[in-house]
Amino acid sequence: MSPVLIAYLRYYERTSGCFNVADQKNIAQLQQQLVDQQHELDIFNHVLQHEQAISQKIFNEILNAQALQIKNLRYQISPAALFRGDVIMVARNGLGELHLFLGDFTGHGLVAAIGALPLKDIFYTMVKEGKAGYRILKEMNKKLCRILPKDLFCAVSYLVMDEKQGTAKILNGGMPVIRVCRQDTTKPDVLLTSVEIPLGILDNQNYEKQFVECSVSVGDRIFLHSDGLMKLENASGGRFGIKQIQPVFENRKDVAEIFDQLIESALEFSGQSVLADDCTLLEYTVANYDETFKRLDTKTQSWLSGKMDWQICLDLPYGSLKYFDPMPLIGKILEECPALEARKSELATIFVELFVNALEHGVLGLDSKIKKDPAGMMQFYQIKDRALSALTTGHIQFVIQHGPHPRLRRGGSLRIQVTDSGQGFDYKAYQRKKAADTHSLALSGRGIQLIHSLAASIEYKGKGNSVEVIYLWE
Amino acid sequence: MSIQTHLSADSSALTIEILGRFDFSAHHDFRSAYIDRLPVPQRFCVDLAGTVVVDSAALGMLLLLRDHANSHKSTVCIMNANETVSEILDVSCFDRLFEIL
Repeated sequence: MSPVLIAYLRYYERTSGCFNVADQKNIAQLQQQLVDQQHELDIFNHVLQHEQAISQKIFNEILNAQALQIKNLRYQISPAALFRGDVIMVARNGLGELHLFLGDFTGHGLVAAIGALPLKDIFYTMVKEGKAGYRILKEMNKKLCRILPKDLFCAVSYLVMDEKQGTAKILNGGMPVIRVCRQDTTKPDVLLTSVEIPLGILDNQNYEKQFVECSVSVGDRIFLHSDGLMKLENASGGRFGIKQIQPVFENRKDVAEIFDQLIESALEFSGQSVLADDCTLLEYTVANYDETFKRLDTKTQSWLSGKMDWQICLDLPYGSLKYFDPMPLIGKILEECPALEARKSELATIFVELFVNALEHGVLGLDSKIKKDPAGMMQFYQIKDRALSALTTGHIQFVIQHGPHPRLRRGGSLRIQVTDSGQGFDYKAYQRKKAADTHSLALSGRGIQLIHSLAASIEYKGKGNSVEVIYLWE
Repeated sequence: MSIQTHLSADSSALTIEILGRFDFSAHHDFRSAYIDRLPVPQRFCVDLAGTVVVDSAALGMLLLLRDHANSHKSTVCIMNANETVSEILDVSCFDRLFEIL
């Protein structure tokens, strides 16, 4: 019989003396109700646990499992860590950089794990595109601010390791101290405390200046861990914390032993045979770039590092202009460069605008003045069709050249020059007029304004029948 | 864990005291302390003098209070945090979000 029922019966006995048949029936009914409810609760609990186990497995497959096959990265992470809010993501880009993200979401269970999924997409896509760490964090922060409720956030440790340059750029946003431990004991370790609020609290944060850069040597080790290791408790309620962690680092005989020592210390402290779910620890050992990565990177490196140097010339005589749209072909060429492919729509806008201008005004000699109203637009395109069919002369030439970015070590510069066989125009007068007439709502001329907003520069050359656009990316 | 509130004489400032552990168990009581109060105080003060420890759930609750205050153009300050609690507020750089006294 349940304790509740026993207490009730005792009270009843005390107050009324004895039970009659009606009382006994009541008691039996109550008893049955309790048993039924208990049974329901058991089933509910069982279903919940089962669902959690499945979700956990799925999340692990999606997130942590794939990421961690990186040379030189040692980690301690429980399969249930994600359900305690700990997320690790790591990837290398074509520039020879390694990006490592350790996140600690507030909350438990599904709530904590769900925030991680959109971050995963942002991280892996942007790292592949060669984006800088501070940009990736900005996007992640924006996303979390949008999707997370106001009381949930994600503390973050972010490492950008550039073994080629021998530098590590680190950002600590709400996490315990990140340590750069020198193999050479004559050089001091670098300790990085939190300098930034966690992700998902304030929108529009900028992280560029919050990254701390330090030089590293081969054999140095960088340690990141989540709050779990700090909060680890023993039987008497004491906390592992900085008092237990610091000595392992300070009293070490060799950097190589720190990782194992920390785990051993933590296990001993907690008195358990397995570490608690959220005691996530990462160790990255700085490698010799030439020996380890150069071979891997050379193939993919050139496209993204901005050192790609090429020039393509596309000549379209009037016959091609009549029947052939060069845009898909140009699109295909750009697709071969991942960095340009990622900026497809901006580049497409620029190319289309330049081509249309060269064709309509240059080769066909049509005047935009007709396009002054919607009826005029229709008329214009009819005239254009007729002119194109009747074309017996003329050509357009594209010169597309790619080179390194003029100011940055990453990224690149795309020069697009379009020359047509037309008469050109007085572009100096046009530019003077445009400068004076900034509020024009004319239906023509917006295209060039659009290019101005996308490209670094646009310049007319020759008699106005040639235009050069410089597009920078990073 | 218990929550106590004090309203200033002119109703412009509300002080919320958290005694004991400031963790998830405080969620309901903490929110009730301020959410329906009218007129909305111009200043909210969270007094942590009697608070032994805070966790990330508590930080979240403070963010909710801040959100409530911001939508009514009121301010929030946090005061009297002990060393342990101050350290936790420090790591999350909460001094950028709250006035900490």
